[in-house]
Amino acid sequence: MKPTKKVEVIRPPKHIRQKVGATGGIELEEAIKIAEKAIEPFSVAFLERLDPDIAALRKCLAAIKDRPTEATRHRAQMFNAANEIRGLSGTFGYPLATLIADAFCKFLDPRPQLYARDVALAALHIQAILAVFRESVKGDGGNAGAELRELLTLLAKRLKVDDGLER
Amino acid sequence: MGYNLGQLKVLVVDDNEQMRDLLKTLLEVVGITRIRLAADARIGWEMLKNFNPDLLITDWNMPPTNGIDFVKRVRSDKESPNPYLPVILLTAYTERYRVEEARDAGVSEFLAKPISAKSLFDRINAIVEDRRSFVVTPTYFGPDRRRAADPEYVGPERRTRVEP
Repeated sequence: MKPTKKVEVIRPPKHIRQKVGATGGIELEEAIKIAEKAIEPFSVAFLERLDPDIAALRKCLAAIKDRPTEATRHRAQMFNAANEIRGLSGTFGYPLATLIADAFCKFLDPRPQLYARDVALAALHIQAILAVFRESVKGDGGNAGAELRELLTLLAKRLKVDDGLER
Repeated sequence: MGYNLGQLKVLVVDDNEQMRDLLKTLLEVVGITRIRLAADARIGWEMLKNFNPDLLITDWNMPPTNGIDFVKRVRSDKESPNPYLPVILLTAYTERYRVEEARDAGVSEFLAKPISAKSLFDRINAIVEDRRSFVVTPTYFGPDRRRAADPEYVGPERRTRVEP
């Protein structure tokens, strides 16, 4: 479909509804129950799948601690690894890892350059992610998880203030 | 849910094999068995033309191509079998500007990773119940980005209704 000079509204010639029966399918609650059982076997493979991303973060952590002034060189690799971890962990029983990785991505996203203070915060995020997998912290992480969530919330708020996005 | 989805054909495009298998498993739970899986947008495009699915679920970040370009191609390429194809974009990117980029590419629904069975089924329901028309502008073709009419809108009406 080519864009036109004027604005046009088109009713699509066919709709997915035409191939969907209004009734006769599985009910949502039952489908969720069955689905949760069905995805359990994926959890083990998930950890293997994340190995390269965890290894990448570990390597980046060593590199940025070793040469903080060159941390920007590792920014893309850190973001990509954290992005994979935030996208998969929650589905397979590690929501705390998703939470920390999400905070890390949101920290890195508006920072094309990483300075000394950024390096310290980046290192903390990475250490927290690595700790979740090292200690196999599934679920919400209990009291430690709650404290970590509170800290991340405070940190995000503080960073917004420092970045001039919020007072 | 309750909808009988057994007749639907679904194409899943994701570079992560585990995610493809997971989505296939979840789709089968709701009775969808006609599923094709592609590891990247290039393979996905060929499958799209041959399989002509009723629904496309595609990942965003799958080097060397990306899901956004794939969606734009589905919407605008003259070889596309169905420019009106409902598309669920799957991504860990949740930043607002990225969501807007996806919307502006013509994505029908946005599914943030980590996904759950519920979040996927909710999006499929939303696609089935979606009553939006498509809009063509000088820079956009895709589902109406206005989710609902604004009863307080008093500006000029620039849109022309056309039959396909």
